[in-house]
Amino acid sequence: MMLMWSATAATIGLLLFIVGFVLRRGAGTLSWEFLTSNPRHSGALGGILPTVVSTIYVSAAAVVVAAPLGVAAAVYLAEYTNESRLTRFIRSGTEALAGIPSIIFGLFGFAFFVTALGMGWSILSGGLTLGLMILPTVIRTSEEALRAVPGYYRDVAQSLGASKWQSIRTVVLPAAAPGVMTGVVLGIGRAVSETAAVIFTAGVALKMPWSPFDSARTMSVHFYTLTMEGISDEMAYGTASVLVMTILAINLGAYWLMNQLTKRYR
Amino acid sequence: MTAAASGDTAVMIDIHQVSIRYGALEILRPTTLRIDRGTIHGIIGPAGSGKSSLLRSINKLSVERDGAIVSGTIRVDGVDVLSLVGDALASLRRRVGIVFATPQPLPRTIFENVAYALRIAGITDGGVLAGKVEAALRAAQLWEEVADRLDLMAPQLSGGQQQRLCIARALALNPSVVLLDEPCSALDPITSRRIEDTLVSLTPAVTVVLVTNNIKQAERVAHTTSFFLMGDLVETAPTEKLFSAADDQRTQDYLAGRFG
Amino acid sequence: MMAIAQARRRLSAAHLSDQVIERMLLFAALSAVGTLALITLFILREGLPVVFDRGPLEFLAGQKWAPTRGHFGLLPMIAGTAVVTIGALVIGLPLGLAGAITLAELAPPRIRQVLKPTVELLAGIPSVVYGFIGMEILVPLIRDSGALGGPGYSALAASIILGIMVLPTIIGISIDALEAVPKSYRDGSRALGATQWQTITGVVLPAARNGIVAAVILGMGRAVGETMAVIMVAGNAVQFPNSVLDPVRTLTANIALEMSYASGAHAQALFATGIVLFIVSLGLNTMAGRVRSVKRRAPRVLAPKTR
Repeated sequence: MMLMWSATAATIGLLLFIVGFVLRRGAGTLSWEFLTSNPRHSGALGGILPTVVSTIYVSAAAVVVAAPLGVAAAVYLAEYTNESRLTRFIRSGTEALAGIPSIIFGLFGFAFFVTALGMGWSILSGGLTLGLMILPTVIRTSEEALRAVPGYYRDVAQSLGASKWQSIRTVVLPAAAPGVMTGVVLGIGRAVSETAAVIFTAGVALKMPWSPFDSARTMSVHFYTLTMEGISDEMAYGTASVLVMTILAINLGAYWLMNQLTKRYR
Repeated sequence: MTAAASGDTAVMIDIHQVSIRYGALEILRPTTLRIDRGTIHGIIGPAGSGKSSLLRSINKLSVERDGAIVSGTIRVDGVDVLSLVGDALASLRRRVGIVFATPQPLPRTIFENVAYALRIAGITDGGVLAGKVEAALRAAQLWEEVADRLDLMAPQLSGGQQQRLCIARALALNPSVVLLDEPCSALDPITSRRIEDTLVSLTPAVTVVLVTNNIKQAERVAHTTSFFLMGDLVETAPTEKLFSAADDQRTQDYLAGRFG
Repeated sequence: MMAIAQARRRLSAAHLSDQVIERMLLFAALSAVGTLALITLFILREGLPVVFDRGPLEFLAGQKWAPTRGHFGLLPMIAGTAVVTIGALVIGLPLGLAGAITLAELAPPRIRQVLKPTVELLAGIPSVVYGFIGMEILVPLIRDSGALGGPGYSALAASIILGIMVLPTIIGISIDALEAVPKSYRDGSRALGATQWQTITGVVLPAARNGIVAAVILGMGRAVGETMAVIMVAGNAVQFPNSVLDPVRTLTANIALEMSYASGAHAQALFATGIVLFIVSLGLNTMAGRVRSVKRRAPRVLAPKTR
C-alpha cells in the first residue's frame, strides 16, 4: 500500500518538478519586453514577439478547421446514427487518426499542403495540418458532451414540434456547449505545444508574419531551435516558461470554462 | 379500415388495429380504441402493458425517439398520424401536446420553457409571446405562483411546480389533445390533486388522454377508462361502470388490487 | 380550426433542409476518415517508389543507413525505436499502474478530484520541454554518475524521458478501466473477508485487465511516435545499441533530423521510414481497439486470493 502511494507521489512530484524547474529558471528572463520585442542575433537576445504572434495565428487556423468540422462530425455520430457499419467505420477511422504520430502529420503536411497544393511553408499549411491533427480530439470530446445531454431534452423539443435539427440546434447543442468548448480549448492546447508537425509545414522563418502565406516560427519551434543549436540558454528557458505557462493557462481555462458554463446551464 | 372514422365527429382519436413492437418484442397486440372529443380518457394497467408505448405513438414519438415499430392506423381528428413526416408531423405535434412522467423542464427560464414551442412555431413578437405564455401558465394553474419571477431558471422550481410548468409548456400552442404519461407518479398527493383539477378544467375544449398507475386518479377524473393488461386492451367503459361493475374478471381483479 | 388537409401535404422546405443538414453532417463525420485516407495516399505516394526500387528487405533488414550513398537500411533505427519503447514501458508501466491504482482505488474522492486533473494537466506539457529537461538534467546525470557513464545521450535517457511522458496516458486510461469495474465485484470480495489489497489484486485488476492492456498499448504507441524529446536526449547515432548507455536513433528522429536537407531518393527514403512508422502505429492502435472491445465478457465470480 505504501508502495502505491509513494509511487504515485513520485510520479506527480516528478511532473510538478519539471514544471517548477522550467518556470524557476525562466523567471529571470520573463518580462513584458521579452514577450513584445523582436529577437536579435537569431534569438540570442531580445524577445520572442514574432513567435508569439505566429503561434496565435497557426493555432487560430487550426481551430478554424478543427472546430466546425469536429463538432459537426460529433453531432452526426451522437445524434444521427445508430451503431451501423458506417458508424463503426467512421469511429475506427477517427480512432486511427488519433494515434498517428505527429511527425507523420508533418510529412503529410509537407507533401500535401506545402508541395502538392503549393502553399509553401506557411501559416496556412501549418494551421491546416494542425487542424487535422487535433480533429479526432475535438470529435471525441464533443461527442461525449453531446451524449451526456439527457435524452429527454430531445423528447421534449421534438414533442413540441421541433424538427430533429431544430431540437439539436436549440436545445442539445447549447446544453453540450460547455463540454464542446472545453474540447476545442484542449485542442488549442495541443496545437500550441506541437512541434514536429509544425516545423515541416509552417517553416522556421524568424520574422513577423504578415499574411497567411508567410512562413512562421511558433514558440515551440523557436524553443527547439534555441536548444538544439545552443544559441542561448537564457532565451531557451524564457521561451519554455512562456510555453508552459500558456499551456497551463489554456488547460486551466478549459476546466474553468467547463465549470462556469455547466453552472449556468444546469 | 373502418368506414366510420372521418365521419364520426365525436371521435377525436381513432386507434385502429394498432400493434407496437420493439425489435422482436411485441409490447402491444393489435388494439382498437376510440377516444371521444372533449373528454378525459383514462388508461390504466400494470407496468409493461403497452400503455406508454401507445400513448407515445399518438404523436409518433415512439417511432422517432424509441425506435418502435407501429402498425395499424392512428387518426387524430381525421389525420393519419403514422403516415406523417417532417413538417406535417411537426404541425401535428403542435396540436397534440404531451407531458411525461418525470417533470422535465428545459434548462432555461420559466418564461422560455413555455415560450419554446411558440418560438419553434415561428412566433417571435414579444407581446404575443408574453400573452400566450401567461395564458398557458394560467391554464396550468401556475401563473399566480410564478408571475413575478418568470426569469427564474425552471430547474429551480419544486417538483410539483415543474410538472405544472411542463403542462403549461404543452398547452402553449393551444393543442386540441393533451397526452399525459403518468404525470403524477413523482409527485405528492396534494400536488397530484391540483393537477387533476387542472386536467378537468381543460375539458371540453381539450381532449385529454391520461395514462396513470394510480387507479383512484382515473376514478376521480376520467370520463372513460380503458384497462390494459400485458399488451392487450381488456376493457373500455365509462369510468363509473368500469369501477363498479366491470365486464371482465381480470379488470375486477386489478381494480380490487388482487394483482398489479 | 386545424388545417387537416394541409397536414397531409407533401414534405415542405423545412423538412428538406433537415435532410440537407444531415448530409452535411455526414460529410463532416467522414472528414476524419478522409484525412486518414489522404495521409495514407500521400505517404505511400512519396515513399513507395524507392521501396519498390530497392526492395522492402533493404529497408527493414538493411543495417547500413547512408542515404546519400544509396544505403537505406533502417534496422538500426528500428532497433533504436524498439529499445527505447520497451525501456519507456519498463519505467512507465509500474509507475503508471501504481498511480492508477492509487487514484482509482485508494485515494479518497477529494484527493482524487484534485490529482486526476493534475495528471491530465501535466499531460499537456510540450514534448520539447520534456526533452529539454532531459538534456539539462538527465543526460549530465547519467554521464557524470560513476556507475553509468557514457556520453549521457543514450537509450537510457530516452527511455526515462519517454517513460515519464507516457505516464499520463497509461494512468488516465487505466483509471478509466479500473473505474469501469462494477462496485459489486469489490463489495462481494470484501464481504467474503478479503482485505482491500487482496480485492485489488485478486478481483479488480483481473477484471480491468483488458482496459489496462489497452492503456499500455496506447502508451507504447505514444512512445513509438514521439519525436522531439527523443531527438534531444537519445544521441541520434546510427548504430545498434549494445548497452542502454549507447546513443541511439529512432525512426521518428531519423525522419525529423534529415528531412530538412534531404532531396530525391533520400527524401523518398524518409517517407519510406514514415510508412514503417505509420504501419506500426496503426497496428498498435488497432490492437488497442480490439483489446478494449473484448472487455464485454460475462462477469466471472472470482474468489479473493488467500495466502
